[in-house]
Amino acid sequence: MGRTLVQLFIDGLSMGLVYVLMSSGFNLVMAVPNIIFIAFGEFYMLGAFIVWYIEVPANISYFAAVPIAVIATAFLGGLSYLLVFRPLQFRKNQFLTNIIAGVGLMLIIGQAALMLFGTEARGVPSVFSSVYEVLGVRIALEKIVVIVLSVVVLVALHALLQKTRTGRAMRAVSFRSDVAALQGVNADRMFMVAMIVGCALAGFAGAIMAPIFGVDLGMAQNGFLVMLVVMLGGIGSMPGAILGGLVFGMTLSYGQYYIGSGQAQILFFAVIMIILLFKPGGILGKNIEEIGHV
Amino acid sequence: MSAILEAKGLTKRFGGVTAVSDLDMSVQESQIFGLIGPNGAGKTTVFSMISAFQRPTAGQVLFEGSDVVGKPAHAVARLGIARLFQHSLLFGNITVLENVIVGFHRKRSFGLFSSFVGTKRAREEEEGFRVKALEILDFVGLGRLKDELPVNLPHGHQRLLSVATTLATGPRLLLLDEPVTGMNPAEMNEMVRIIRKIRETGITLMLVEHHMRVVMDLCDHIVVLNYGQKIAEGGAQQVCTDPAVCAAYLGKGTYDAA
Amino acid sequence: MSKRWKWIAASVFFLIVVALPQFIQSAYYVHLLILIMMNAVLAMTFILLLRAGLLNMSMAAFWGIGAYSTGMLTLKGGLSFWVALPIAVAIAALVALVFGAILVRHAGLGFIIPSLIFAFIVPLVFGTFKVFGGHVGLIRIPAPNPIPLPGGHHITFASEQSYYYLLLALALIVVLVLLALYRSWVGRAWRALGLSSNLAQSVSISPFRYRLLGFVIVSAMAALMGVFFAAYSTNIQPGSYGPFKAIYIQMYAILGGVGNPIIGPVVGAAILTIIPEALRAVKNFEPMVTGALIILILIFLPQGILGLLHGRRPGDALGFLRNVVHGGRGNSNKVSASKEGVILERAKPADRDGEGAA
Repeated sequence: MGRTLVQLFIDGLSMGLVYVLMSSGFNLVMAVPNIIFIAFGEFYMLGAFIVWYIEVPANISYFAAVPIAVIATAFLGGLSYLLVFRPLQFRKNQFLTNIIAGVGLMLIIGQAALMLFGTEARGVPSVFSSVYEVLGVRIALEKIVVIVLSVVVLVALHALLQKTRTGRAMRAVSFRSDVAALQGVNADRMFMVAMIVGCALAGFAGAIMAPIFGVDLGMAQNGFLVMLVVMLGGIGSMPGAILGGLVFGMTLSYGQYYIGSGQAQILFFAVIMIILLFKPGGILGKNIEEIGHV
Repeated sequence: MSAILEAKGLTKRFGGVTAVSDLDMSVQESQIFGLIGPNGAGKTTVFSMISAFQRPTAGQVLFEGSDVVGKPAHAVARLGIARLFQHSLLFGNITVLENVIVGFHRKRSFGLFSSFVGTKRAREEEEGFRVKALEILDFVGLGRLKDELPVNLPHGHQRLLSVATTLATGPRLLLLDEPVTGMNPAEMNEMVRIIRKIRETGITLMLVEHHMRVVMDLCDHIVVLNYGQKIAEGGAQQVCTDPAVCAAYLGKGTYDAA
Repeated sequence: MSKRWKWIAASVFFLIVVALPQFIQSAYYVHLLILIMMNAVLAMTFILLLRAGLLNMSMAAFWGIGAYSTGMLTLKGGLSFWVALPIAVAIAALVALVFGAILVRHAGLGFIIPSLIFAFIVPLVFGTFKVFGGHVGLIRIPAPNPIPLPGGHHITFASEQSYYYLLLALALIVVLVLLALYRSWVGRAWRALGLSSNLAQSVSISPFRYRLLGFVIVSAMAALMGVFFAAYSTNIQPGSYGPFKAIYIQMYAILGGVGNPIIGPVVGAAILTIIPEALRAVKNFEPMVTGALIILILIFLPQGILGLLHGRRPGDALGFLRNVVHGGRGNSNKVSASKEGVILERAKPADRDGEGAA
């Protein structure tokens, strides 16, 4: 069955929005505690795996599985911060140390997942399995649900960051953590909140993607790619994360169909690199040359 | 005596804020030139522009007759302008002596290959630098601390180390940004004495400082800035009694009459 | 340790390294030693740029460029390994020059991210285009031609041991070059740039020139290791040259200790290569143990493993637990805490060994 432009668009949009979710999460972790969180992809994968585990062997409804997955990944994120990243604060080479710590975490979590869930790819039964025909085009409801859910969560995230005190505190810390401290903001707590929310977003992304793409260990790789999406859109910039995620999703969707998956990725990366050379902060990012000093 | 440095119409805007506005000034060779003004008047910005760490929005900076605007900072340093930064910049993980030796980078005459291979002449030059570095450290009074790490030095000594490093480059013009701020009176006197000695070696000095006594003592010629504009200029006595200057300072900052 | 003792220690160490394969029966252990040596060299090159202020993620990509160039030149081009070697290194240096000229203009993240993307693209390119063998990579890359010796004998490359000595020779060249660089003005300029870029510029050190130089040198050295690896393992897959390998290289460097740019990487590479192998018995748990070990070393040995040798106390475990339970440092504040660290602890010139005054 050939895919029409509209179908490719919906694919691109749903994938893109999921990437937006992930890149927002990654963005939070990057911008607030300044960690390039290598293990981020594992949380994406965990979200999917947990949903599978709860739905299939335990036979609990998908609607319960998703929140459980999100809570689990959030908890794990907080734990990671407490045990790994907080003790590593204030080091010389902190930036690099965080990257390597992320690798350590990746090994641990990845292997644990492997041991718990086994190596085969799993399918997660879709709750919204109907396919509608709109104007002669077949569209899966599942994908529409993903789109809607993503948008809802993103709007909620936006509200959290802009309107609530916690959100403002996080933005203050991301901007100048010493000045924020003077204002009475507990930077440490904000770092943890950012980490928790970020990982929860990753878990959520994995959870809603599970029915569409199945669950397998390779998913963590996607999470790894998210890093680049964030860098494209701009670190610390939510609109940038959105832009980056959508561009990535669309490029993959159309690219995969027209020129093949590998070439599409190369094209994407080449474009990113060119853009970044001219605008190192990403398209909409802030001036990031201060971060990352080794 | 000729003007070693001239600024013409020097302007710097950051977004909506004009930090420096249409500044004209002329520094003569071997002068000690003072740049003063209340906090935020744009003094450090002027230094940044002269040393090319920032690019002027408009205007020219003429060093020994040629415009240096647009050149990168290291190229301007190579021309002979050295800078003492406001917040002591030091090379943290190497000794005091090593700090000063880095300063000799400008004066080395052998290219990469000779130094890499370690030819006899390159090594001799290196040894020469080591000796000269010790001389400079003695000149500023830090000789016995040559093997210390900068982070273990008190503030005053750190400033002296920064001065030593700039001297190693063999500059023609030395920009001193708040050299005595944060020092006790004894250290201050020492720094003033050293600044005078530096002038005697033929180096032109520009000074940004808040301690009025030091400025009045040292400077041959003073320019006063307020909100980025020059409001007065002249010798110490002149500037002291200028009504515009008093108005700018009244209620702001400290007039240190000590 | 006075200079004389250092020379003696280094010579003894060198003799041991040279003699080692004669005493080891199993080809497998020699293989491990080869891996350690190669990874150590890669880590050394990473540290060079790190000390100059650049966090380079593209090492593995140049390693790959060296490997693939060699593979293509020998396998498809029919050239001898010895001819391919300088060509491959030159190719890598050229690529580094072109990309470096663009990348090096920025500092901090502005350099890190494009270099990371470069790390992604290179293996992707190798893996996608059929001419490079696609996913499968290149196989049956020919071994280096035998070197004729006076007297009619030849050095052939059939056993692990011969490759060991080949790598040793290459590694020795790299180390000697690195030491000479560190001792020279270039090394001093790099150090200055790494410690304070602004101050370095004010003494007329050009960041662009020296960083570009460093980048090209480092990439060429990484490529050299790739050249060796292609011939040694006779097959190369694109996946092994990606960003993960780049990060692993950084791990060898950091865990070993960045204080000493030569010895630290050796220690780090050794530990991180041996431990996973030693744990093969508990294969299932191995990555978890390795991962935990990495994190533990990071937390408790901030100076890397080398810090232990300098007599530093490993960070205290109790403090760590207190940290976890009670929360950061109250209103944790990056600025104030680092100042705190400066005032409380008298800094020791721990890494003067790395000054090239070894």
